[in-house]
Amino acid sequence: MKKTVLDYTLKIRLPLTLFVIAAAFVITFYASRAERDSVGYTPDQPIAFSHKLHAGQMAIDCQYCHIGVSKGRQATIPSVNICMNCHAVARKDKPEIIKLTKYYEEGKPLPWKRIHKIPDYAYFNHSVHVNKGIDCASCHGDLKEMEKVGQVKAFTMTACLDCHRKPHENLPYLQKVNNGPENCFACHR
Amino acid sequence: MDSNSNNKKFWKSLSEYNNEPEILKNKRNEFSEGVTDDFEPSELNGISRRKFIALMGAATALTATACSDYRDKGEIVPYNKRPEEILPGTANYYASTCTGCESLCGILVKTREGRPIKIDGNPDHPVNKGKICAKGQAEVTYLYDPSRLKDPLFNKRKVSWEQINNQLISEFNKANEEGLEIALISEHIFSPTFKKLLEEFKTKYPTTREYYYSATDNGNKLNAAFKSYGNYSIPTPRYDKANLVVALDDDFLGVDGNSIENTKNYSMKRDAIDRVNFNRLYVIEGRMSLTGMMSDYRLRLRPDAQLELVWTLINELKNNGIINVPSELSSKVSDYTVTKLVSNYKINEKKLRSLLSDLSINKGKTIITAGKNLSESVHVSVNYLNELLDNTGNFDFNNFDLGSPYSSYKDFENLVSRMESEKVGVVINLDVNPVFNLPSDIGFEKGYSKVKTTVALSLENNETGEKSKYLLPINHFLESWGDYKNKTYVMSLQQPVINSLFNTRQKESIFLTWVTGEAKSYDVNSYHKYLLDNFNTTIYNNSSKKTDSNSFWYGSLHDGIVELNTKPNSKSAFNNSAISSIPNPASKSKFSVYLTEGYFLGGGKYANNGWLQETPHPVTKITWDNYVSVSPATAKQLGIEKDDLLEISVNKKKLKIAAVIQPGLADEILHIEFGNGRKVVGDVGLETGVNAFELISKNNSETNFILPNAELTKTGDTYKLASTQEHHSLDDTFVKDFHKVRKIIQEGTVNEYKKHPHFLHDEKHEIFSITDEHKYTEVKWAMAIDLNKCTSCGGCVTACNVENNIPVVGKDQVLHGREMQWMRIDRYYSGTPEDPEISNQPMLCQHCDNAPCENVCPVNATNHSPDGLNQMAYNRCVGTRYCSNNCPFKVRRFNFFNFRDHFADSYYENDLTPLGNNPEVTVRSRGVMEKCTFCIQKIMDARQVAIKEERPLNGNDVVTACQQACPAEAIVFGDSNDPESRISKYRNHNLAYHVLETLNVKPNVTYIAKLRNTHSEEV
Amino acid sequence: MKTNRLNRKIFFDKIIKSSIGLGLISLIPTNFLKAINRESKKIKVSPNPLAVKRNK
Repeated sequence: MKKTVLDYTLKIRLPLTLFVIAAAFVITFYASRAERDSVGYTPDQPIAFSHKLHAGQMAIDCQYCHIGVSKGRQATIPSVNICMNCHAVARKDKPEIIKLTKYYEEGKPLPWKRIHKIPDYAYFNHSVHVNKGIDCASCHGDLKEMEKVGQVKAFTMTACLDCHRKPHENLPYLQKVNNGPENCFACHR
Repeated sequence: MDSNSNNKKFWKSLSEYNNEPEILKNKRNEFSEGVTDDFEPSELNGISRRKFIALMGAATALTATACSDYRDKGEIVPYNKRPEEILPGTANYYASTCTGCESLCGILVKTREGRPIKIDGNPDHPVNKGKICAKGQAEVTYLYDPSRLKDPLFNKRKVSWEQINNQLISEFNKANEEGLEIALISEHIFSPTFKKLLEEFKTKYPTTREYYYSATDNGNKLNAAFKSYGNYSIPTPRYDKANLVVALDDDFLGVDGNSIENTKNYSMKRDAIDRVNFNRLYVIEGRMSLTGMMSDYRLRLRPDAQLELVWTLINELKNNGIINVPSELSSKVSDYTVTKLVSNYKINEKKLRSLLSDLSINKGKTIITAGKNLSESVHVSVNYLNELLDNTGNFDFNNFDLGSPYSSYKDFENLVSRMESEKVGVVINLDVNPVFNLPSDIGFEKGYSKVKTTVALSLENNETGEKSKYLLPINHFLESWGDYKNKTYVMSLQQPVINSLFNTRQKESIFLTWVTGEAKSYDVNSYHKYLLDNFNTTIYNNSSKKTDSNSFWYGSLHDGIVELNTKPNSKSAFNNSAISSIPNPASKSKFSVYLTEGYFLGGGKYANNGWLQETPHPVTKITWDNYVSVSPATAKQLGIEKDDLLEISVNKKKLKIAAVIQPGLADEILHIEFGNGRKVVGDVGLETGVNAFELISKNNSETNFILPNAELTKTGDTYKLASTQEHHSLDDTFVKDFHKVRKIIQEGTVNEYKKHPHFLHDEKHEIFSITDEHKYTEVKWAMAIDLNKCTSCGGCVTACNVENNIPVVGKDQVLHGREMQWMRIDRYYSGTPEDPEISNQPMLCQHCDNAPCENVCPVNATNHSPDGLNQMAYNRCVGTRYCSNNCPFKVRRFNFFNFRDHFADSYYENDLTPLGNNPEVTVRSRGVMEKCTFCIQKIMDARQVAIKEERPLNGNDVVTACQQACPAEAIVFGDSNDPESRISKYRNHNLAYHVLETLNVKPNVTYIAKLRNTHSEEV
Repeated sequence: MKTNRLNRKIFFDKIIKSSIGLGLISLIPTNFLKAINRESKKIKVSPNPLAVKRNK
């Protein structure tokens, strides 16, 4: 029988094309997983705030600035007046501090670039974790060594459930820790 | 010959006409010779137009994509100078007062990030004790109403406050000089400070005259109180003290008086849980009211015959020697006997005689009340009957003396005639709407247009504002300072929980500017200073002064109330001449129109409030409209069916309104509720019913609300009414008493329960399971609803709506059955259409242990949590709706549309309405299924607190929104694994049952069967 | 006159180019739109400092 063009297309070309497309998708999906989860995302901030200096060298406690972290769901970014607590006098001639003071005096909002974000349908509660004794570094990495803050851990549901199911491995410094909740309503309302 | 135009030939020049060959050749070329000589196609640019545009498009797209980082997560912006009291993520609570109606309940306002999102009752307030009604709950959305006025308007043009105040002050001065009246129309002023300010205003402008009226007024009751006891304060019944309650067309559990206080007190005496403590409620009424649904015995009587009823009671009790009537008054009532009443009005004789015997037995322990829509004469007679029966100990005489009555229609008529003859220079409407509320034959609108300076102070534009020259926007009560007193022993304070969202001012501050006469002198805190000064002089100086005045002020604001050390009022003696001056009752016409206040619209004020419009009416379950109720007998006689458009004519006025057949209605009345039919209102309130005020005439013999000599005709049209519950046909034998057969509603009587406590479980048979039971080790949440206490007031429904961001769907979607309320109150009729028995049952997701909805979800979006809740993950749901199909209780709601932008002009898609959303609850979009979550956000909050305090979570830590709102304490929530908890007591009670138990879905909501307190054991 | 082969070539050409174009356009960042919308929130929400809150 004579091979028609349609025959040729259907038997060879079509499956080949489909296979190529599917393979491309799957490989790209898995290869880009880490980047899509924003691991390593380290954007430039409007003011070059260094955690290494403040949290590391000067050893200011995390909760001095991030006040909401043990009281409520949100960890809160410090408002500008907390910075001005010290920087009204400390190093107020440096260019970054001048930028900061300008924001404070003009009353303009300081648009920090957000790094750690989970989707809107998940409700994460900081105070529950902090009050159980979990250290900030367990999820946010060693901020004391970071000049610019970046995301070190993937914030996918798999990562969260991993820690919830095996807390003793992931948080070795806690003596008494139970498994975290695994039910839907704990995070998805 | 003219029709041959298409055969006509046209030519442009003589050469053409002559068909010269040159011209013919040129006609073939688009361009004449030589024009395109400079144009060489082969020398054109290599890029064609098409290619150029393609390149530009690709370049733009590539630039656009290169400009961003796909990992970008936006920005996070903190406060610049964080206000000390706000911590993003935690809620603040402020005590304040709700001024939605005259009850003036104390409230606690929950704010997040500076925005109020929920109103609940203030537990420290001695009157409402932590509860607030449905209207109060919905006030928070009124603050964020897009149709609110944002700037002062003069002749509909925006002006500045300084300008408009200067103009007004000069107008006031001019009116003063010329001796023209300044008419001030408002509701009764309950604020002592504002009263003081108004006195100063009157001193400055002596031609001022005040007119008080209210769309939902207690005017008849107030005047009767004055006639009986000599002061303008209505005695409040204390329902927790009486064993017998007789309500004459008095909806005290609904909209008559302070329904929160009444419900709370009444429910204390409907207790089957702790000890069997039941009062007995007789309701004698013409319409079917919420209180009528709760009654043990209900008698039908037309409202204009209530006076004869009271006199019959007085006469019969006197004849039986129970009471002593002075001889000069006994002749007035001597004609009225039970036989006469029965023969005239076909009232149920057996029940009436049982009422008489109960009144005799319970002398001194009864409360007899009459509804505010009945005439003055009835109220005076009822006061007298209470006096004769020594019942006055059950009333509280500590209501604040208002000092003056409401202005009558005669007063308004005089005002209008003065307006017409140009003797009135200024009319100020202080947050009232007389153009809508007053009967049209007073001619207020016409007279109003003749006045030179017409001022309306209001939150939104309404009918009066539309006709006013000066329209001043005022603050919502959540943005205002104030103090309110309607009882002598407590003063309620009001503080702003948010600064004004728009360029509005508090109405008291506006008056303050007018009093000082200086428009520039306004400061945003000027009324606060005035209030504080008055507070220090009047209250602080009279207190025990244990602290300094500042601390006392802060402490009072923290509590929201100040207890005043006043001696309790003693009751004055009854004025017998009040009785003797009552005219004899007139003869009755065939049909009368009976007007009562609509449950959720406050006389028209809340017409633009979507939640309140969509809360179903407690009796008919109709939303978004009002209607005329006719009795089944009348309907049969005239061939009326539901949704028929009828025309009612009375007092020479006509009104077209849709009909509803209401079982239990008295045959001669046509019952219409007022509050709907606003014409000048935001988008939500348009076309929601008809204005029943139009039927009222200024000349009413007895009361403004009973209009005799009415006629009704069928127009032949229909008007669809959106009801959330189909009416069961009582005649259909298949569905008759379906709810009793299927054991959805189980009831009994008190006597039966006392004799036979296990009567409910006599017929129970064992149900076995074929699957393994799940073990719950920690807290297991369960809820119980006591049907003895639930009055179907709708407070829980509205509270759930506010707490969980439930969308408002609009009338046409409700017609399709797509209302989104997670909690509904089902109403079942049983008995006969003339004398039905009504049962109410709040229905919400039962969080079944063997939930049928969980098994069928193809994507496992709904499953069970280890603390007993049925979980719903919105992001997993694909919208199969199989779960709703399987739910035997039909409590799951599907988002058929994204109701935020479904309305015309995307009503909810604006910057303002989303401010009122609860940030802890997801706002659902199209295509997801939702249902009651047992307030998971509150459970998680309590868990957070428990972890912070390093203790285990206790069942008493969590109060769901519906539980918090219920004034009767009918809803109980807690840990069923704790044998000591209240919920365990409810679950193991003799009267506890589950709905549709035989399905073995194991619901976690327990219902306590309703007991009716009748004489016999039969229901 | 176009042959079948040319037709098919043109057809696939159109598909490929239009899908590339659509794909690129779909990557236009929402940042642009967000930036435009940022100024629309003109409602100022602020608490009144004279009010006294409860500590719950």
